[in-house]
Amino acid sequence: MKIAMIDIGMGNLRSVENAVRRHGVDVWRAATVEALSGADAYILPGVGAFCEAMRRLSATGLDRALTRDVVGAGRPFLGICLGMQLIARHSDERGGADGLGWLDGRWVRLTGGPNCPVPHVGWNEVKVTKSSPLFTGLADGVHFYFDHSYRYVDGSADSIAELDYAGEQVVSAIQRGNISAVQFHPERSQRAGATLLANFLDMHRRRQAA
Amino acid sequence: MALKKRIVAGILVRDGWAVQSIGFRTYLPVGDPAILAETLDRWQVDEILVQDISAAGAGRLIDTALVERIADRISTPLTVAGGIRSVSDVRELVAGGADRVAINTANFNAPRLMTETADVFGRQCMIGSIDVAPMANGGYRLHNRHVTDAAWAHVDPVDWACRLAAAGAGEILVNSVERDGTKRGYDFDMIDLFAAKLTVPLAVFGGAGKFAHILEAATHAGVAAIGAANLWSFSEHSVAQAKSRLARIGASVRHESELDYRARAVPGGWRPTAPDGAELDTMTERPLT
Repeated sequence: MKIAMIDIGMGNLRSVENAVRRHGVDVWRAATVEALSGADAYILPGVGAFCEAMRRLSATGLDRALTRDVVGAGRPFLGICLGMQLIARHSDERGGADGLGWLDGRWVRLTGGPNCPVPHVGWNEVKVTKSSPLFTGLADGVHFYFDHSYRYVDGSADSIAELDYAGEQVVSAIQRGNISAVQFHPERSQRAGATLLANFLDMHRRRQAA
Repeated sequence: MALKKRIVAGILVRDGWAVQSIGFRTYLPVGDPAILAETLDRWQVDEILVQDISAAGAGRLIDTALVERIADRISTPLTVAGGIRSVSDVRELVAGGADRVAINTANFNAPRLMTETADVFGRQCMIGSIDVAPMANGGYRLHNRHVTDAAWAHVDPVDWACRLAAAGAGEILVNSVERDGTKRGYDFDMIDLFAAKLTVPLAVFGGAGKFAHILEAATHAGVAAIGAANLWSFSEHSVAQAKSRLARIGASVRHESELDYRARAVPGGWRPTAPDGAELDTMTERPLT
């Protein structure tokens, strides 16, 4: 299996690359549209500001190419953290910016509360709300590492895992057809994260074999 | 649902070698920092902090090759500290695999640095780190051997922490110089001063010598992350042992290890005890739910 990891020069590509490579797949960084070719699936990781990431996706033409391949041609896709946020319609971050618009929802800032600081940084347990192959072998209440300040609203029909943070619902994972996305960092979530990445790869290995 | 308290393992690096620190003066060699990180990752610690204590004084950044070597071996959140002086330093470390970075010395000389780095990498990436020592006449002072300007002697450490948070630090890490390496437990009088004023998460280091100290800190109001360095090197599966105990007292921590440690009678009805009479934990496998 061949994975192109979208490289917009932001965030922890090295960690994601290592985590994916441990599952025995061929992974490379794609900073241009040309570098996407030959991939069976895409992973979009990211740490940083939403509008800057959108600017870079747009400047390289990766926004249009990804939409064509993922939404148009149904190529498997996994968005991680900022990569999950970018596929939505809009984010309120820094005055607001439009995303790739593959999902209907938008991102609003977490309010937080007692013992629930913002940014939400650390391990938290997620509740699996809808059965999905992405969570095969992961029990309800499994812990993942989070590092974010925004939460997804208006599109939670696609949500498959959630947590409650100071009374606000934090959509932690999304599955919509060929599109998977997680708010947490599987590449920094030890065994639970490795299982989730293996599940994503297995889902599409099976598709390929079928 | 509240955020789980983090158990943080500090790895102090001096000239490329992991060391135990005692009172910021004596350093005992431990070994290769990457091997240590890999072990802590397997024991399911919640975060690893790698701090090069020789970098700032030498005017250089922590060795990026070392950060990469550590980051490549673990899937635990990695925080890196040591000699960070610019946005490009942070970029280099993040590209090398750091999830977050902590800045201490450079905040004194470059007050804009925390804001500049937070603007680029986000507050969630930035930690303001300070070393604090008690004063003879009561109260506390900032400690930093690389900052010689006498004006700093009059800056209140809590005010300084609040300034760093306002400037962009998403977390404050406080290390007790007096307790460092003493195994006497955390300085909760000091911790309370910070907890009362800070609105960002507070991570504490300095003094943990036994698991009971970790339990005290994990159940102490205002402490988000409980740090120790030396403690984790003293016993096999140390992190899993501490988490077993934390889970048993109902502390809000992640405990997913299949190892369970508790004091119990072993075959023959014998209850193992330490030379000081304290009951010793024994290890079994815990059925995962």
